[in-house]
Amino acid sequence: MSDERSIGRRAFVVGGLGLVAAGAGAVAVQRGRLDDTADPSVIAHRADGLAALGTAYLASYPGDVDLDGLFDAVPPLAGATSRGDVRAALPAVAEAARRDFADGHVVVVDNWRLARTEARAAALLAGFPA
Amino acid sequence: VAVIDSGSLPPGTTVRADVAIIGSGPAGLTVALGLVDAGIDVVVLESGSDTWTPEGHALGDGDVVGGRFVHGEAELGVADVRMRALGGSSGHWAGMCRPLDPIDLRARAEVDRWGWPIDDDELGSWYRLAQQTCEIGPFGYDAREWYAAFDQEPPLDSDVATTALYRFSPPTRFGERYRPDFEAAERCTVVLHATVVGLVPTPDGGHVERIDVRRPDGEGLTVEAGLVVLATGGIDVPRMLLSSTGADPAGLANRSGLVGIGFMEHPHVRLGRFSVSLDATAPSLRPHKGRGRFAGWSGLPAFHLVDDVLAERGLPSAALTFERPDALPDTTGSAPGDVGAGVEELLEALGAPVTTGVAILRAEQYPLARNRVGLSSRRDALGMPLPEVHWTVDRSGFDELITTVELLADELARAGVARLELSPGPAPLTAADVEIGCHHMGTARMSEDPGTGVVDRDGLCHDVGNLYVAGSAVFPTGGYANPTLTIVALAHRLADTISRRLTGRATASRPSGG
Repeated sequence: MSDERSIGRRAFVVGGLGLVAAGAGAVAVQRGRLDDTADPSVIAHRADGLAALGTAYLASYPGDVDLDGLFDAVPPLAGATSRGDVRAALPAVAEAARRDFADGHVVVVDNWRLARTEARAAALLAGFPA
Repeated sequence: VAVIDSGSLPPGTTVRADVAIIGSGPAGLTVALGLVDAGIDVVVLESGSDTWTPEGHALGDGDVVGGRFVHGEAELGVADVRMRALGGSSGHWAGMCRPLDPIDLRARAEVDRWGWPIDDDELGSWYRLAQQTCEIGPFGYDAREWYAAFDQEPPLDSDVATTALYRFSPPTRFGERYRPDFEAAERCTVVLHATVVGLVPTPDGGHVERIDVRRPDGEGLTVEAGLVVLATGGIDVPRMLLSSTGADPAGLANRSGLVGIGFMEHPHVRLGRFSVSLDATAPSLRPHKGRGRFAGWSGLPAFHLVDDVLAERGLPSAALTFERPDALPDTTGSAPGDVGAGVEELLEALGAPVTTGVAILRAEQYPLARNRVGLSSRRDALGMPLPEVHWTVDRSGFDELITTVELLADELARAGVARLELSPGPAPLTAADVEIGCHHMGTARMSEDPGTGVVDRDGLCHDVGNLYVAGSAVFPTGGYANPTLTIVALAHRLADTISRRLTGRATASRPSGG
């Protein structure tokens, strides 16, 4: 693992407090990360559409809350250390998203039908501080 | 004066004509126009006035059994889903037009023995004439040609799904638009406020001997005609046949027992929002003006599964449109922090401007025996039994609609065009959310075999030698296309059939090759 990626993951975990509070509460409590759903960071996350999408995705697909697994599942985002990095890398997710739709790797998030890869990308973004 | 009120005829009057047409909607008036041009004496009987009235509305009452008639925000009664006035339901028509697709007219396992006895070639040229009657502009429903005028390719054209095209009538209000033609006609009389309360058959039931008519005050009139055309729509055609029991308690033209059976609507599924790439779809959002050959005429692209996929999966025809992007609170349609806003951000990050609106699926409903129009125990003010419409979309039918939506959603996403929200609310859609199109089909179905339908390929009742049915009641299957263009095409064809029967000549408007 590169230093850059290590830093990214540390930042992700900090931001992840909001992530779990907003959408994956049951899982989060189990992991012992959540103690205050009124955390200001939660509100900030909810003001961000992509983050809300990512949060809602993890609430619906809690099996993906394994952060290492998420980074591994979305290779274009491997070096991301901030939301800006994730956004900048999103165009690289497009092709994977098309393949997902062709291969049936589709998720439904709050009734939106999305590619699994793009939903995972949103989940990763949600993990970084706003 | 060729448009008169029944009140101007003394009680007990007998009106005689070569052809009596019951109903003045797009079907009845189109047949009448063709026969007038052919020099045939015609009387048109319209129950309503020259415009909507509460009295006419009340005569259209009835009961819905099983499901609900929901359209948009409103739950409708039977009287609300059609209009009893000169011009019929064209008075509240939205004008959306498209011919049936060839697959709709082909025999398919899913519709069993209830397919069309005529094919695309036989109907094709009559569609061109209907296009003129409905004032839709140059004939053309090829999405590729439509998009070429915008220097674009259709946004979806794969081996799973492709792009079709709706066109729009102004819409033509048939009563208002064609009334001058009837007022100028010397051999046609249109009688308003003339409600038919019974078709009186010969003792063997093989012919209609006379038509019993009531004025609003209850006074009776009689119409005698060599040929009768019943053009009262998919609910009132079976109502009239089932309540005309002079020769058979099962009703007129009902030896097959199929009058009213296999009633079909066009299920509408109002999905949630869509987010689309504007670069890919600018001419695909809501009806818009065409270019080139179609300049000045409106169209709306629609997305549907290709025939092979429909056949392989046994799915009904259906088409998805992007509509009403302006119906949402703002152009983005999503509040900050909403998942929909996230989808917009996602698509924007992929490089294209995005807009959001509402997506609607319009679908075929297979003919099922349990969906039917029968008679209620209630009667209207003139003593006629009211119709009882048994209609549901069952779990299996609903699942087919959702499968179609999911396949189309995935193809649109794969093509980089759109993402779809599958429900407008927080909960997934259920069969109870399915809406109607106010289209009533299949209740006097056309068939080659008298045992599997009510009318033959010409619209003539199998059992009654002088009674024709016009309109969507004769549709054996309904496709997804709004029915008016096909209704008018078949009506032109029927006028030609009757003209040839009575005069030996085709109608003047018969298209070459038709």
